[in-house]
Amino acid sequence: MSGRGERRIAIPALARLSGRCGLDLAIEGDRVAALALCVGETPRLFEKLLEGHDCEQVVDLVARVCGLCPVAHQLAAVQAFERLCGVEPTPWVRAMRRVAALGEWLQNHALHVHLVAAPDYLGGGSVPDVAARHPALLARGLSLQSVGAALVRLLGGRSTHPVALKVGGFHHAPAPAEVAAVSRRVAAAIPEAEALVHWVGALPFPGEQQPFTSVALGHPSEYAVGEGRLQSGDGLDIAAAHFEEHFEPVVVPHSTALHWLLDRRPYLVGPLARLNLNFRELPAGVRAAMNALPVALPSHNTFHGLVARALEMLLALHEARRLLDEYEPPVTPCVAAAPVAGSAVAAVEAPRGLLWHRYEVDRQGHVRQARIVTPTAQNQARCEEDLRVALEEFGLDREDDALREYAERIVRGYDPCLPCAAHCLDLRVARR
Amino acid sequence: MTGTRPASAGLGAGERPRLGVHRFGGCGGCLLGLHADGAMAALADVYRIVHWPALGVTDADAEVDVAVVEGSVSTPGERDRLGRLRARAGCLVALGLCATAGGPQLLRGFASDGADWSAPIGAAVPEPRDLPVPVGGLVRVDHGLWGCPAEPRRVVAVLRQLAGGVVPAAERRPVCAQCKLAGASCLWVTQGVPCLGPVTRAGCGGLCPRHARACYGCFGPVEEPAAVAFAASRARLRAAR
Repeated sequence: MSGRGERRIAIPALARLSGRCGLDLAIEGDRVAALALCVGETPRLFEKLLEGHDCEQVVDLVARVCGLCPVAHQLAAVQAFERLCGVEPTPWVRAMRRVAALGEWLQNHALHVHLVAAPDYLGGGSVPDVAARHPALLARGLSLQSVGAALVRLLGGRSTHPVALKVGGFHHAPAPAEVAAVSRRVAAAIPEAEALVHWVGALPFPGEQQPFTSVALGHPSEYAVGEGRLQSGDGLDIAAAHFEEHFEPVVVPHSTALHWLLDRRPYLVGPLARLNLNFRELPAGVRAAMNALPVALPSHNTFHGLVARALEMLLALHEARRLLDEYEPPVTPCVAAAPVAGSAVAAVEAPRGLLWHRYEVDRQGHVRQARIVTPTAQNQARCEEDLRVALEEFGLDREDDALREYAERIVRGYDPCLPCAAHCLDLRVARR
Repeated sequence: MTGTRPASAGLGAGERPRLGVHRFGGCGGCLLGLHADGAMAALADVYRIVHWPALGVTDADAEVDVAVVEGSVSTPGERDRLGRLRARAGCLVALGLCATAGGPQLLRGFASDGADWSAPIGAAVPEPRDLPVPVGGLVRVDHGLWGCPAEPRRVVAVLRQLAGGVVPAAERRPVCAQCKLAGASCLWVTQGVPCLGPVTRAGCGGLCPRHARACYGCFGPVEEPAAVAFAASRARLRAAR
């Protein structure tokens, strides 16, 4: 402690996060005087790197923004270019993209629940410590993760930076025997995911309800994944093309990630925001598991993001089984798309939340300007607001270590993907 | 110190070699492959993990037998961190295309409007004025694992070899060799589609040609690419169209 009733806590590097992120906290009496979540990832200036490349090259390049959610970035890009060209993907392409995207959700959520969040509920320590104490739990988690990876691999060729997605569809359609083999793994994993939902539902969640706005894609007939309108819990309902009219970025000096605001207020994207807005669209098997939980929805306790992730893992398996059981090889896995000049926009739900891409394309089909808005950048302001409120409620008179642990736990609950957030730092905005 | 020192050199009987895992600028996808599909268990089996922040194990300054480094290096702080970890590592493995070759962020070096790239972006934000450098551009690398992403099974196999004191063989074949082994039909020969397979380092198993598209070089160039012959073949293909 330093001074009377004033102290500073610095956490230079939060552990168990996908990237480098620190937290500076200044306390005066029973108030948080200053709080800064510092994303220290080195920006790679990815939006600028995309300039001058043709649309197909951009589809391969943009996967490299993020090793955790390459499918989401590729889906956003291909759909943006397809809309610009006036190309409508076939029902087969739509279904297989949904399977690939849900496979990516399953993989990411399984890793978050078991490697990032679980140690906080299992007596702390590192992942190897927890694995030694709870081998069956970790094994189940990694097995669910591997089913997610298998779904992405089935359609994309490999689970990280898939190669088979393209504008108009896929380069290649898997053979029915490959599909059947993965489908069997999916079916066998459903009871495992149900057991996981049950386990997560019984966890002693800390935290309180906080007022915040959820933002996610919404679709009239399915739990939105790759397509839909942009909706909020406060009644916003717009097409993806109007994103920039309502959402704006703020540059903060302490972070290499932009902070995004909706009508000048922080907002939440990600699994909990999706579940809050779309739980009525869950298929029956997932609704039943949800209704058996002691957690009421919609929830404004961000620790319930863990419940949302477990339910979405079950959703991914149910949807994958349905879509793969109906599988028939297509006449052609893609439709031709000729480049057109104009502005290409698309939004998808990445594992960590809303992902928005816009490309300005010239007559040669080359990208002249790109803008990528990632879920983690959108959650930065909300995460800081959450920390402020939650730490004051927790009690700022506690020991530094207790505050540090609780703060880390809150940040981990947002599952920030720091490579994504930092790599999309936008220089044009920063100059204003 | 020259050449590759087996990781287990100087260890007592029954003592597992120590592993440190470090991230620099990149997408994180190569390390993701090590969190998944039994890879973590296969490494924990033969190593004592002393630094791997994503798993909550942190001791960045510990002496290690093997250090795995993912990503490229841009800022002075990152250069210092790399130098420190090199000095404490018996063997350094550069993991993935960012670490071995610089990665996609190196495309910045081809931009013509350099001034636009270094515009100020805020007081505390590290200004990425310098081009990213692959790990081998700054310190000695004992083993490079190419690929975007590096192939997880190969990564685990190499790290287990190093743990056992075996010097892993470098991959010197082009993608074409693996396409032939996989029985993939050659897009260049059968359809006249230009493909980077002949000059790209093997490791993917001929992934793109097996998915009906040309190789786009994500494992980086082979050590001695037949560049002249490749360019001549490419020119003949273009003329034939």
